[in-house]
Amino acid sequence: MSALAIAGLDTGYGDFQALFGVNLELAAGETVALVGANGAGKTTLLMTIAGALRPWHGSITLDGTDITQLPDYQRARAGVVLVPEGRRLFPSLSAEENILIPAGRDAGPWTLEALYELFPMVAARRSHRAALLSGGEQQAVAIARALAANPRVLLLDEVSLGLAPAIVDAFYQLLPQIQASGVSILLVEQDIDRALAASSRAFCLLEGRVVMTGESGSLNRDALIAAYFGAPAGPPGTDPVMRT
Amino acid sequence: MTWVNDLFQGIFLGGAYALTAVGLSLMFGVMRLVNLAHGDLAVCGTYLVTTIMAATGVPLWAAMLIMVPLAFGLGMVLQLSIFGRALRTGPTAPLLVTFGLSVMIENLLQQVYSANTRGVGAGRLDVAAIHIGALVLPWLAMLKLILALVVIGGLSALLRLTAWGRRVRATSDDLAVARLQGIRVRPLFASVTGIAIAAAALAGTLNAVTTGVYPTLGALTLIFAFEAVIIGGLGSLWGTLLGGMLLGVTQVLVSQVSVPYATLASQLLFLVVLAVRPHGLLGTPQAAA
Repeated sequence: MSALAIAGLDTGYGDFQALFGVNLELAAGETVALVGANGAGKTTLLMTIAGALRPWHGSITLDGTDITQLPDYQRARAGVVLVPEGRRLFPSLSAEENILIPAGRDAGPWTLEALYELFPMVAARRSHRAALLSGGEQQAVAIARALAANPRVLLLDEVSLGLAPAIVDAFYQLLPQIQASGVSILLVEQDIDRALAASSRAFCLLEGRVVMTGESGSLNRDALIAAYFGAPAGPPGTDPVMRT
Repeated sequence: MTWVNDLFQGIFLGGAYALTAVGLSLMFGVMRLVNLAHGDLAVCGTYLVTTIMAATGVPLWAAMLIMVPLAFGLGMVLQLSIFGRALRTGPTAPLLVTFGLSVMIENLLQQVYSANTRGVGAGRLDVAAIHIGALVLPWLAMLKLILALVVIGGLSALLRLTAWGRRVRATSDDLAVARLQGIRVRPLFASVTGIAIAAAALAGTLNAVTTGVYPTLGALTLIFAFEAVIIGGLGSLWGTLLGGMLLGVTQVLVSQVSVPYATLASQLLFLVVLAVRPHGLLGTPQAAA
């Protein structure tokens, strides 16, 4: 049974439809990458899974339980936690207070001590106000805050945005450790190579539709880039990727 | 010596202003809700106390002990039934809704209690005082300041040190993300409004011992509470205490020279602060934005 299953998801803003019949599954402990150009609907999909946006049609299932109608705050408690784009820490709270917001609600491996072990740089700055932290430190706090809820599914929206490459590398080196705790990760990432390297499977969104899926290791990079920008793929037969 | 006495009187009066205003400051700081019915709700608390005293014959302090939890409950009910709904529809709806509530409360009170001023008997507390040389420190006046310090200090500690306070500050920072982190906003806001209304009702009752209470007193109460919040700085609870004290001291000192100018003087103080330091004495420019 998949940890997270999304079937036939339509949603949008007002009269504008942003997602069209999106299907996506996430196995327990699996990392799946979601790639696509700006405006393809990646953030919309994550926001809908997290409950900030109501689906028009379709279903979202967590460990076999339908959570489509669950309001956002209950989704987080059920185990679907979003690390939002741009980090969105609570600026007036200290780093530790940010992490304590969801902490202690559900028992699990991610105690404050475990999180400080994972992110030593957060431990060093725990009493600083979040607004005064560097971008990398803020991102670490944002991930720690999400993990503190001991989620089943972690939604990472562009964690590398605006960060130095060395810091981004350090984050991606931590992913296997996070995965090892049994968390499934849905990863939105602009950098295709990084996304493929960190995931077992990848989905490509184009204008609100899933246009390509496959094993990250065997995806044809050129075909993926073509799908990314909506250009026609290479000649038939040379494309090993399943098209949906 | 009169001046020193007046200074103390002003500080004590400021405590009462601050105690009234702290709820207004809290609700604006947390929810960006400007509650125009705040003064009227304080007056409701006072009438409730007089009704409890008349019906059961209990002394003032006992009636206040009964009233405060009721006021807290009323605040929660108002938040859950009206304010929360208004907040979700945009920034203007809360203004209209609380203004409407203010009009309704004033008329309802006139209907039930008539427009006459009624006194609130405090028994011996009314005249009890400590004499230090020529300095007279009335217990009733000191009680206003003590309660203001206890409420503001307690509230600051709750906000700073407890999980509840952490959730309140997080929600005030970013409501949408707070929900995504699993915070249930409705009961949280209800508790905030409950505290705000309870503090206002407490302050209103103590003031009414000195001045009496009448149905339209709420409008005046609101103005002074607003000024205390703005002078002290939006979003700063200790600023509200400072703002209340400056208002109180100004009013009492000027009334020594000329009573009619006392109220005018506090409004002028308010205007000067707005002109010179629009974000208030202890506020930050961002909080006012």
